[in-house]
Amino acid sequence: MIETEGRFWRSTFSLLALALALYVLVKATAVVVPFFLGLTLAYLVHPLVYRFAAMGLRRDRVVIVLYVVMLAVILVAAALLVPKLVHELSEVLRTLPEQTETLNRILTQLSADAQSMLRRVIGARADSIVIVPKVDHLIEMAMAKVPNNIMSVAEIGLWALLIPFVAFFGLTQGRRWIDDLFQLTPARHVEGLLAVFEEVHVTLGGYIRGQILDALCVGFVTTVGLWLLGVNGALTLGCITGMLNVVPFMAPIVGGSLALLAAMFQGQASSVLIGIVGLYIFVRLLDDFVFMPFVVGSSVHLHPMAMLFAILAGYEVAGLFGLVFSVPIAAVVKVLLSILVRARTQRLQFQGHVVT
Amino acid sequence: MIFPKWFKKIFNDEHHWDEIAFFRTMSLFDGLRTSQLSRIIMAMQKRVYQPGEVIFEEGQVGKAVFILRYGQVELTRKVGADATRTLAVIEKGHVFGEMALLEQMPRTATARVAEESQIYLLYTATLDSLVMDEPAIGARLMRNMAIMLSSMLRKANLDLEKYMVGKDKGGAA
Repeated sequence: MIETEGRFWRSTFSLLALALALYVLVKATAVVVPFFLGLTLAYLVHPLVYRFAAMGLRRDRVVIVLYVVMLAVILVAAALLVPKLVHELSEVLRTLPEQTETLNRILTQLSADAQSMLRRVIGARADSIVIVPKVDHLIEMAMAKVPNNIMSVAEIGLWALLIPFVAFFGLTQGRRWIDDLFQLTPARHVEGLLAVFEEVHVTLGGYIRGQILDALCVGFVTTVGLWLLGVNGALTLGCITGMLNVVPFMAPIVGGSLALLAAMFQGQASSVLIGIVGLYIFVRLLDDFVFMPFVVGSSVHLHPMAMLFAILAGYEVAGLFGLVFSVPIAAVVKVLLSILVRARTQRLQFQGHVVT
Repeated sequence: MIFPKWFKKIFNDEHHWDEIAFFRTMSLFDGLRTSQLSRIIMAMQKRVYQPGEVIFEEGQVGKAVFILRYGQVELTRKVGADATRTLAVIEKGHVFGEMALLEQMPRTATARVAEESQIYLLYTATLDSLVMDEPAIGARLMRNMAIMLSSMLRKANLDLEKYMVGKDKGGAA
């Protein structure tokens, strides 16, 4: 009886502590995000460090060499890609007034068509209903937000320093942190913690590495497709689509819309617009039936409904950050639940089992 | 892998090579290459246990294999309501709980730490995925396990024989 009561209080206290920790995490999202991203980066790079550590090399030295190599790769990639991106961006800015005019014309035409249709149905009242915003107004609104955007750039700059810093400690001392976690865990729960730790590690590791590779594949195919269709800025649009692919359902919806808008701005023929729609459908199917099964594998088995719920809930709780991390967090929750269910099934299965 | 001296001086992880040397002494890992042994070691977690701590209990479903780096662990089994019998005392360099590698069944004994001990834990599913990656590791480990189990069976047969002879003599008297 006393033992049952003790267990009840222990469980209640643990749940309350967990709820408090989650509350603090949600409230302090802005502070937690760079640390979280740093640890995620460490987790991504960890297999490479692991390979060298398995050869009997010191982790800290390997990580320092790796950082130097990564910095060199980033500099070379920037030297190669940045001029191209700047060229594409300046091309967009150069043709912006002309493109704004084109889009204004299209919108005015659309507005007139819609109003004449409405006038036929509801008469003169239609004049006060249809409002199509002018594109130059939208640009003015966007320009008004420039100071905020500069602040965001400063924040991103700070993150760019903080994230590799946190990742460095994650990579060099992660193993020790895990040992400490096991040391702090009461002896009789160590085997259980080991099961949780290893299964979460396998699921999460597979998911994150798979997603990155998947995003690269999607970005590459989209870039090639847009380039073949003759859309200017194919590389930028392909990169954006690849990055958006990290958030489920975002690449075809937002990436596709951006590509369509860009093509409209460029005054591309309607066959190109149809080609873009076809390309994004093709990439989506390729992703679902080729990349996801072979690249991401079976690391996350989440029902589409559960995935959608996780994404919406993630966005509600932590915005963009929640969008990106909702699915892996849901996958971890699923792993924890399946471990609990398995433990319960085994307990019932072996209840009264004669140990021989 | 052979590295030049200056490279070793800068990059060598002495602790890792100590671990390799320790695991080399264990029959479970006989015949494994250093790289294979490294992968197994890096898939393990470790913990220092204090005397009296229970590592696992009789009846719990086994999920991990344990390797004693130093210290002493006692394996006991319940006999009757309150009494326990010591089945074995595990010394450094020995494996216990290895049956979890073969089947997910309840443990047949309780493992309690007798002296401060450092223990490596290897989750069986982790070993499975390692084996999937590199089947040669699995083949070698299973062969070594079979040899260990066969020697345990031989010992058990001899014990049973002694017991039966003793019983027969007792019965005849």
